[in-house]
Amino acid sequence: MDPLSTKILIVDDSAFMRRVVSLILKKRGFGEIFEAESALEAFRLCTQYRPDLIILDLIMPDVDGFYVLKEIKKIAPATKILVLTADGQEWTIRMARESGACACLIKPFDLDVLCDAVFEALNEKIGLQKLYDNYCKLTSSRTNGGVLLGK
Amino acid sequence: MENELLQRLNQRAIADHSIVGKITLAINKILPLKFYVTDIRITESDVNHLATTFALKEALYYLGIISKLSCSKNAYFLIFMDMASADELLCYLTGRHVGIINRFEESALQELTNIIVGTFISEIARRFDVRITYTVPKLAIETPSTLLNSAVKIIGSDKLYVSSFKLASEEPPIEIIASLLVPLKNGERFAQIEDMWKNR
Repeated sequence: MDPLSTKILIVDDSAFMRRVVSLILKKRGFGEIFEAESALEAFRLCTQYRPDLIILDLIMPDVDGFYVLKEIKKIAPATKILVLTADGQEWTIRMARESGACACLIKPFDLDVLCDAVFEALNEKIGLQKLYDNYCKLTSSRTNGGVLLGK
Repeated sequence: MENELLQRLNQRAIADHSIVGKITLAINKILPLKFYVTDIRITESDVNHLATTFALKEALYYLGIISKLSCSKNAYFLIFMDMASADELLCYLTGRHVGIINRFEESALQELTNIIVGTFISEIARRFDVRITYTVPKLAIETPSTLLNSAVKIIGSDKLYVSSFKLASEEPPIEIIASLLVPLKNGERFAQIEDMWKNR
């Protein structure tokens, strides 16, 4: 995976958190970083840019974070969603996973842990995409027989 | 009877001490400061008595942050710090002394509060096997009486079960006062609140 070619959207009502996360990811060489401070802006940017990864704060004013998570999954099903929250209750983590998050980091977390989680999520997403692209190439170029992909 | 309940609640304060300990650990993880717990109190009080309890100075401006918690009973988490403490914290969070708190600095302090509230409710939820939701912390800068009057309006009652603690660091001197406030209805006493806190 080439981190430079990735698109990441940070959704957080806190300008401070958006700046911290954005600076860290840029410093580590991750590609294009977009920021949204509200759910509506997140939906718009998600539709416009189809990010590879969304880093989502669950506790936002006037909106349920789980609703935002599910809506983003409807707009961009292939986008990976990494949830950041200070709420470490078991049910919150379970709900986040069930609503489509690939991982849930509890604040406060080490910045290395955040970067590892971002890399892992992107690797999984881009890795699957490459497999899919290869599959498309093979199926479009084949003349006889075919490619058997295991389940 | 009342004394017995108070005694049990004070025992609960010992449990609270380990909950508050988790909060100091969380803060120590993000700031290069050594915070410790200086005071834990459980009382039945009105909001305005908090000013006396924690010796808030009316002549000074304080940063007040409030978040609503919801489980079987609504409660509020209230945080106070004097502006000198807020400025010291901001210096560590943003890398500079700012003097004036603008939107960015507000969001940094909100984030710190968010971590304090989140850690607190996560521990309470785990310990008492309850599910708690909470709102984004709201922030204001005012004198203690103005902040406490606003809190009374938001809470809708001035008769409260109050569980408070103070976090402090020596160098630089920073004090954070945090209180869990549970509104008491007419005639409702410690006993009803004890139900909310009982071990399962």
